[in-house]
Amino acid sequence: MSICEAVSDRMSSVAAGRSEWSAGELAHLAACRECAAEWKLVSAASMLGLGIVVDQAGLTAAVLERVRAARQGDRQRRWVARSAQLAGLAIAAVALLTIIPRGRQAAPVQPLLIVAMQAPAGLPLAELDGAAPAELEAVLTEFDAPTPAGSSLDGPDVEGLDVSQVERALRSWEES
Amino acid sequence: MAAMTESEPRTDASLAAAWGAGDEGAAAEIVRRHAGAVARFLYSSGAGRSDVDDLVQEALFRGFRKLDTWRGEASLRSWLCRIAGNLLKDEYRRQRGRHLVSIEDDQVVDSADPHAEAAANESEAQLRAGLQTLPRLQREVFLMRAQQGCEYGEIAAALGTTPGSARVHYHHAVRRLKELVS
Repeated sequence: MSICEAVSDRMSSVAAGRSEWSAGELAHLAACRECAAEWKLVSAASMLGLGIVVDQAGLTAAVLERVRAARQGDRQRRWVARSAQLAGLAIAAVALLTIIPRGRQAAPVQPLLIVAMQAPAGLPLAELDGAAPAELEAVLTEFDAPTPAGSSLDGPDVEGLDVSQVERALRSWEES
Repeated sequence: MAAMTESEPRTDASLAAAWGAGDEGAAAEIVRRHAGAVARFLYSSGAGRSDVDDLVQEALFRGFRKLDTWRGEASLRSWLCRIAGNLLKDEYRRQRGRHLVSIEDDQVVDSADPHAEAAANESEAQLRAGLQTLPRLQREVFLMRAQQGCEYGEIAAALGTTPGSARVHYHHAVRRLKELVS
């Protein structure tokens, strides 16, 4: 580092009053026009605006009042945001409570039960929807008629068979 | 021992932490320490004397609002000066380029040696005018260094550059000011 750089680096410290020039530095400043010009600038800048007086008490009060007001505003904004979040959550909860029971009603278990319970009267037969009353009557009459002999379900009377005979009969039905 | 501890000056970092914890006395101490420096920085950067009070208040308000983001890499003073510099830039843009330099007659104070005082005021006015011709970064580096007595490291931290770059900006500023002011 050259003497000019060293002196330049010390200028702000001397200008701020944190240190003083050494005899060697003073001699350099007296001999070096560039360093002398820089020192003139730095010392002038260090005094620039020294006449400005700040009303510290008034300034502190004003700044703190604004900060308090701003913080209050922040709190209000946060409260509004939280309220909106809570309202959203509440709406979502109500919606869920409303939708879930409907979903349960729509679950397949209950309709099946209903169908099973109402089966004799409620079998869905779409082909009968457009049938005339006379045709419906004919269908019902057919349902009421005894099952013809030879049906697999109403075959020979099984009441008189013992257990092994019943099992044999069932096995033969399964195999057929 | 306790008395010695109490008499030790609190660091800016401890004041900032106390302020964060709600201690308004700490805020008052921060204002007491740095408001004058921020005012001088603003004035030297081109703010009119009549605007300085409002600008200092705004700079400190902004500083307190985000004091929790000050990490201590830069000194609190240089950090506040940086905020003030940004504020002045915003103000300059808001006024659509209207030059902010305002050299008022009331800068001349009563003196036993009116000629010397007038010369000093002329010199100050020249320096302020010269500073206005510098690019912003050069001006801020020069003022932080020459006026605020900051080291290159803390200037770099405050201005978001490197110490080497801050040194280069300073020397460019000095070279241009020598031409303009001498």
